Amino acid sequence: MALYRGGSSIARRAWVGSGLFLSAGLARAEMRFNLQQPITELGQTVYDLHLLMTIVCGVIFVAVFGVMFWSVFVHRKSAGYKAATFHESTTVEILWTIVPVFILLGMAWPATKTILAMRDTSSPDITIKATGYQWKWGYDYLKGEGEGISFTSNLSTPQPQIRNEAGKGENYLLEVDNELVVPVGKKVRILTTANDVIHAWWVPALAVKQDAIPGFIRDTWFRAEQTGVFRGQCAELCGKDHGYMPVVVRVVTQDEYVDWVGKKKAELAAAADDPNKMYTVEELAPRGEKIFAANCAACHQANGQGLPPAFPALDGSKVVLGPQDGQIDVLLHGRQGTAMASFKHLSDTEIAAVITYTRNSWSNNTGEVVQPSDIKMAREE
Amino acid sequence: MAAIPGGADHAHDHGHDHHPGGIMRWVTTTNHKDIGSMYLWFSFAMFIVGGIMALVIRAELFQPGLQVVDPDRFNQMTTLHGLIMVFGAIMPAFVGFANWMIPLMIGASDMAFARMNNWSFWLLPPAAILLTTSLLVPGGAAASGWTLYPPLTVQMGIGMDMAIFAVHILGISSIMGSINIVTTILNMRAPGMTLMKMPLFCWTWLITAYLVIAVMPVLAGAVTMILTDRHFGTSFFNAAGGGDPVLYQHIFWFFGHPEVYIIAIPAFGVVSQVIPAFSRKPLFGYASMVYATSSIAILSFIVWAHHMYTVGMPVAGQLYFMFATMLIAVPTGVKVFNWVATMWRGSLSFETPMLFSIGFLFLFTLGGFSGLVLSMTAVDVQLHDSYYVVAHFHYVMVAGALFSAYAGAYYWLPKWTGHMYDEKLGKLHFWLSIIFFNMTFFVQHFLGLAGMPRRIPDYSLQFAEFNMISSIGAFGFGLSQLVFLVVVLKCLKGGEKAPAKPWDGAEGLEWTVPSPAPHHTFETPPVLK
Amino acid sequence: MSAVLSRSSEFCVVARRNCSMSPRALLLFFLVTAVLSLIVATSWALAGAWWVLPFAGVEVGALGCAFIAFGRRVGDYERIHLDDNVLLVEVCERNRVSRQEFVPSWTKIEMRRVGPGSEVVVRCRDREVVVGRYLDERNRELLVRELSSRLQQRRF
Repeated sequence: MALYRGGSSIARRAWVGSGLFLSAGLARAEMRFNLQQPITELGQTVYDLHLLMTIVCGVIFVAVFGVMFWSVFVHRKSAGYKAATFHESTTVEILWTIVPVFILLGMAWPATKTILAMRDTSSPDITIKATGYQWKWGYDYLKGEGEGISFTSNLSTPQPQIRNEAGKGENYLLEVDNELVVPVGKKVRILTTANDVIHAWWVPALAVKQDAIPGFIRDTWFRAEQTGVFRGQCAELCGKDHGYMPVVVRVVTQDEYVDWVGKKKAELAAAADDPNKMYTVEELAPRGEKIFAANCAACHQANGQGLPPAFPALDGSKVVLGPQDGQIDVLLHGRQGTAMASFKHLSDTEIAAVITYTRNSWSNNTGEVVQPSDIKMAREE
Repeated sequence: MAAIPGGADHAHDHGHDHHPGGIMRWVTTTNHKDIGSMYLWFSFAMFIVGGIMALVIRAELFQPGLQVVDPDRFNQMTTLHGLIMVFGAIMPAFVGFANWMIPLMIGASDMAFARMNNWSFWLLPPAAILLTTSLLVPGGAAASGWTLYPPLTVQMGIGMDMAIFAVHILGISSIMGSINIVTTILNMRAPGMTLMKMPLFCWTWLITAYLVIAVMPVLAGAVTMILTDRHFGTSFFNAAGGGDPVLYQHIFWFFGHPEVYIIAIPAFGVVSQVIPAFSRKPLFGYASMVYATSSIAILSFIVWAHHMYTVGMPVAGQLYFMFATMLIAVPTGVKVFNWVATMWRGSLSFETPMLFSIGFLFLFTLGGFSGLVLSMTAVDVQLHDSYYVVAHFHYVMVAGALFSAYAGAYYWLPKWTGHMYDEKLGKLHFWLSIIFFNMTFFVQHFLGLAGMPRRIPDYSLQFAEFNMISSIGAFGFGLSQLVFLVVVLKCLKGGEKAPAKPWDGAEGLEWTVPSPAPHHTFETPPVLK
Repeated sequence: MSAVLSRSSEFCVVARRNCSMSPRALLLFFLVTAVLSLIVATSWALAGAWWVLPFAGVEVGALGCAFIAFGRRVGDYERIHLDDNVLLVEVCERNRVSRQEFVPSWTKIEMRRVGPGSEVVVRCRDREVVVGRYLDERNRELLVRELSSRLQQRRF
């Protein structure tokens, strides 16, 4: 059964797809019958453990149902077989209670060792915090090389592909704007938490899955042994776009990592904003549009019409056209009992930009600018 | 004894010999057979409703990309599909079997509390209406999965409150039904029928009813706390207010794991009636079956957190729950071995009930093995919330509970209707079901292994082939169930007259009354030989 | 179900409602269930989820009421006692006992068909008592035959 990996899949696809429409993207896909090929030592242990379990279960299954099907074919009434009358046997019953216990003990031993290794998150080289948001991941490099780097990672698959208006790319739904970059051979500890609801950070090739729980911090770790790009997804239902928040990890060599850290730090420094600068609408709105697309458009839609009633329209909204304080409050604290989460993790300038954008887009035409200093004041209250 | 035809006895205070006609007969009935039939029809209707939702899910997943529903609707579909199938279809189906068969099997005239029986049924339709109409309210139905994990549940609209209310009603109904069943089985057995002489179906229901009584308040408490978190400012599950979202998961699964056995154990009972009948040989290891079932029930209380290996509990907790979970394989194994030993050197024939029982045995065991794989914490961390889990629990719920319910329905249809069902159509139903079932769910193991998360409306291209196979299988499976409807309708309308005991290997008091079973049976208890 | 105790001069039949579990065993079952259910609920309450407790309390209460309601029927019985002077018919339903005395030589016992079933009637002039609720058809016939013949003997 699940014991061999998908190699050439032409023959299999023939019986699957005959007579069915398969897009060009599909034809390239590969059918896989087992866990993804792991790239960590621990992942390999898990892979082998699963294989061992499946084989043991398979053998027992074949043995038990071999007996049953023997009975089905031989002990037939239609073949004139007369029923025996036995209905208990203490020896046999004790035997088939005890034997499985020993088989289970045999299985428990390697399983226990694996768990102990899996949970040992001590002495990492790099510690990264992964924060789940509805619906994207935020990464903060907390310790080790790259400390201080911080960015969010959004799905980069364009909407037309999802809506079947364009051909689907190779990494459909598994591609992001900012990948998590880590060096090969280093122990990376991932702290998970969330901003709104429970998410789960999952990369199959790293054999890592950890729930991200709002208000709590959990941890897991991996040590990648190969370079490459490894893709996973959020595994815990987290609302509307649960299926659209992939996790992409790029494992690079130590040298490439050093380069990347340098570049990323320079980028962040360039983008750092002077909190006291006064902006104009023309300066803030274009930046706000980008922030809106990354954070707000999933629910409120790019055209500002939302998806009422769950996700209200911003175009013509009373909150957006009303006093600034009201809108700032909603962004900083969210709306209890609705899908509107707090966005206080964005910087003052970013919040100011996105509010300015919403107040001056679509049919909204207030001409007002919300300044980063306004946000700062609101935060301090 | 009961061989005296129509032993109805008017000294009893039934007062239901003059039934009101038309619909009022069904609204006011206190007869266990009427109520049993209503439970069965209700559950079949819910099975169709939940099935249509499953087909919406599978239609959306037929190809990558969004085609049929938007992601929010999709989540509402998975949530309602789960709630309706668990609480609306499978549980009421087995309560229906219990109502019909337990009094007949133990030689009682009716259930202990006939009027309460009527109430516990009539609570179900309002709950079903609440659940289904919540799709139409602003914001749509609950879209948080049937597990209703906070804080996601706090974000939902009024549909969530309707779902919580429905779960409360369904819970009250199950508790009333269970109190009734426990009282009936304990007190109303015919003289000479000791507990250890009861048909195994009664034993399994006694244990199930006990489980329901033990865990339903836990569910009621859990969903009530969600309600107060939503509307009354409490912070049971809100970290910002000092609560803990994971506490909900502990409470839910403390209910949820026994719930799995609330569904599976009566299924064991049905199969334990059917296999001996068509093997023409007594059930092997009756006593060990009773002990094994009880052990499974007891173990079900101490393994709940194996649904939560990825929440980050202490490693000692993970190890404990892994060992406890693996232990369940022992009594479950005993049951499977006993069933196989019952068939061994029997004189087997393969009428539809037997086919479904063998299908149950084969596929339920497969689901058990994937459960064993999932019990290993390290492996489960890879497979948790993936399609492997979806495949696993559908093997247990569909091939386990549903196939066993079909086995029971075909087995007792002659007793219920007085007519033999159409054997050819029954066999067709079985073969279509088993082929399409495997087509739908077997490939989902591969999807989960390769890394496809559950509850997603859209997926990456590597998962396309298996999803397509699965969707085709699902539509085939859905349509095949209409064959069953045809069989039942034909059987109600007419057909070959069924004798009191249509199966030559069948044992038990239910076969001593005529077919169809008269309105009143065993007004005075039969004497066991 | 029925204990027939007959000496030459005395005749006594006691028929009880069928109940397959003794009240003591039922009480034990209830206590085990209640204690388990409340232990579980209390544990959750201590863990912070106190809403489980009231639901468990209500449910244990419901189970208790159900057992009490059923238990009231458990003691139901009919006793027919015949000695030289008097035929005593004692019927106990839900803990209420009603006794009727008949003069044997003036009393008749007979089977009456009601719908598809039957009942046993003890009649003396215009007084009558229905018995035999807890007997099956065959035992009812047996009761009528035995008692009639003994009443006949008293007559001569």
